[in-house]
Amino acid sequence: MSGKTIVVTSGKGGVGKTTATANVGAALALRSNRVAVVDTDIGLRNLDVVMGLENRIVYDLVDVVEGHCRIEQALIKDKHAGELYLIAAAQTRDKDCITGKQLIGLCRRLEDDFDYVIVDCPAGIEQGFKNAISAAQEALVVTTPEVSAIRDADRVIGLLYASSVREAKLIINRIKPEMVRQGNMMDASDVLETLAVDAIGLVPSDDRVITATNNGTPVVYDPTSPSGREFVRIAARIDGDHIPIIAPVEEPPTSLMDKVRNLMGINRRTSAHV
Amino acid sequence: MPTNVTETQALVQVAGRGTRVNFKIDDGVPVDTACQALLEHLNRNKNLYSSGEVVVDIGRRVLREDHRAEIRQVIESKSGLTVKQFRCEPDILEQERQRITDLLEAQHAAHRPVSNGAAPGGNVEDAEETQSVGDGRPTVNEVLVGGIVPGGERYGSPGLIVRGTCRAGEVIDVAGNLVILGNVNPGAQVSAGGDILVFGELRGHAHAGASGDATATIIAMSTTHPRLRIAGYARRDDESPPNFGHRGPDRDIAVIARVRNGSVHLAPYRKNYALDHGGNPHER
Repeated sequence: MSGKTIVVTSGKGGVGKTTATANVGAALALRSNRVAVVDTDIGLRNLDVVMGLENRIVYDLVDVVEGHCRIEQALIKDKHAGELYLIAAAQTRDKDCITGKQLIGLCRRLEDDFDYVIVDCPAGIEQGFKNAISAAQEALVVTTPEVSAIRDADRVIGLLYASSVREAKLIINRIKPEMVRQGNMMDASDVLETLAVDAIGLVPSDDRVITATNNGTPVVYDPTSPSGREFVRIAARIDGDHIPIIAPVEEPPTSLMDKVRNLMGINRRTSAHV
Repeated sequence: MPTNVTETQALVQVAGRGTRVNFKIDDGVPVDTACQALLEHLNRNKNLYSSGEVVVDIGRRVLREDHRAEIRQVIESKSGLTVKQFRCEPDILEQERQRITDLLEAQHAAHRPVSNGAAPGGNVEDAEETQSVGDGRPTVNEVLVGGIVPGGERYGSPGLIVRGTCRAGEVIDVAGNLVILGNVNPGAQVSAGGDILVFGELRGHAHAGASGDATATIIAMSTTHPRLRIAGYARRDDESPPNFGHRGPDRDIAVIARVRNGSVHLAPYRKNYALDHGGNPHER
């Protein structure tokens, strides 16, 4: 088996790299792929928490590259999906304790055994970033519709094109359709025009991501979650399915009172202001 | 001197249209020969140059002022043209400036006595012996190369065409002209010795005439908060409202930036802009 390595990166912190990694990884595994996710954010590890595997870590990435254990010992099997494994980052070390070469070696060995190796990249463009992208053939660039995140994504895409990464696709995260409609948020086409890359998913802003992260259960397992559904579609697109990319729409009101208000023509937002 | 037509044409090349003409003088022959060729050319084409300005391109060398005066005299006496300026390639001019500065510094270091009696425009060696810096008089530098502006080969030098978007953090720096077939994103920096043309949206930092040519221009199909510099003049665009990425009223208007009255002036580039500027928007 020869899989491929995909790095999830963004430049700016807090835009949803780790969430995207956990969800895309889980969704790919749900499509019966063998998936390994590797957290390279050494010193600030998060991916294990988001996936709910924090208590199962025995060996981590640094142990593997330093030869303290075999790769199989550091691969932590996911609770939910079938063939999903995590290699956690070390919490007590920093980015300089592994090199790009070591990570390339690890990912090549993982590629022999897995369909997809997904690397969660740290924020920034320093050593940790350089390590993370060095092993990847493809990249998922995560951004939000804010000028600061877009600026950083632009820089990162430039750096990716100058590296060994062959292809970069964009995930625009936390889109608020209501704000876009009101003209207070950039819409996806504006972002794509600026960054001049193809999108692979437009993820709506979704409060369920917060509870899912706190529970350690990625949002893809919640069929009612709009963001989870989009992550499932992103995984399908990575897997080769042709699913059209559609900008998120506003969620219809769900509660009975909302439905009544809607029937009466009272917007939820305006009533909240009253 | 037996000079036949083909040789003359090779020594003096003419470029330009209407009342704006460039004479390019071969930089491989002595000035006397070049002047002779120029004379013959002007005699043959008497009724072609009744009036107007001419830029004399002296190529890859720096001419002494007496030689420049000779050329100027030939042109202005034999035609209705006025010599507007002499141009040579920026790197040669810079080299020459550096060379003279170095010589002067060496002189100062040796505490050699200097007199102030030199006539401007003497030959290079004489001038170096006799001119001094820092006494309020023009320096050797200014006397020797002051009448020459950089950018002689601006229209002829091979430029660079960039296909694609210039992203944040990207730096492009060329000696000649620069054409970008894409956008210049915020955080990107493009710089050229000559003109910059952006066939896309300019939102980053552009510096035209980077080697000191204030006649350089920046043209872009559209702009949003561009940071523009031409030679030593800078312009910062912080008057328009914050950019949400939505099309503003004038986002899709092509613009041209030039130096006017000591500052960088940004104007819409209309379809007959070139026509309004005597056929050449780059000349002022």
